[in-house]
Amino acid sequence: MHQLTYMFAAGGPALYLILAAGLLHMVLVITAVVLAAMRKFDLSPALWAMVLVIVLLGFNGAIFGQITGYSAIAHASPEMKQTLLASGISMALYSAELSLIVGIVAVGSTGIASTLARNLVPRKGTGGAATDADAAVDPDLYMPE
Amino acid sequence: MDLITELFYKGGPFMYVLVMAGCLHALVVIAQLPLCQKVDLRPLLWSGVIAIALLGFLGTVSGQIQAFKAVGAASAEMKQSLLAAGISISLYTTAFGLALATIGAAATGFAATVVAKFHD
Repeated sequence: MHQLTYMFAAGGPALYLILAAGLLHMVLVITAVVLAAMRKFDLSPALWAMVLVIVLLGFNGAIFGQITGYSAIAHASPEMKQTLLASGISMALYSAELSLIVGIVAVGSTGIASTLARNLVPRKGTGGAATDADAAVDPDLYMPE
Repeated sequence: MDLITELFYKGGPFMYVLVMAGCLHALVVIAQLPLCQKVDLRPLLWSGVIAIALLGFLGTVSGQIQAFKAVGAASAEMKQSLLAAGISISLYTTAFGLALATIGAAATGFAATVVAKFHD
């Protein structure tokens, strides 16, 4: 718990953005699963876009952290430069670390949600997921709920 | 064999997580092939490949944080050697994660081609 508090204190505002994006993604995943179970709508593209946003936010945070770290070094005394650089970079990497952790969870849940949607939500033009009507034509293609 | 042992010794705990993720992905690929007429697991398979690659990067970032933290607290003459050793170790997980993700992508591509015949 102490390490998590330190991480958020050291990592800066990008960490809060990543956390907010992760929570929003979780809400979207739950909505997508409910909509897929009702065979109404496939939210997969929005889910994948959110995963991308989470990972990119993390890398953005890391880059901004490094910019701040290197700017501080420019004004430091020679004997302090290396220490400042090392601690600046370690702080900057926290946002990359959090975004990867949140991103991995988001990728896994998106994979499950979009697999459900692909198999349950009927698609236009292609015939989509098998339905009761399909079962009457070809029982092998019928997927029970 | 020594190379693999060294790789796991130097790469740390993330290597084991990567191996587990790779095995899980392989199981889903194997399960998809006989079930290709009934269910379409392609999104799950591709998300597995991405998750493996991201796990590799996570290992690297965690390793680098540890290395830079250690450098910040070390004496002046030890800084460079500590940093070099830390970064080289942390890169092992990326290399392994990317290698696993490449194999996973190839297997997923094959399975997806088979599934596409029935679902697209």
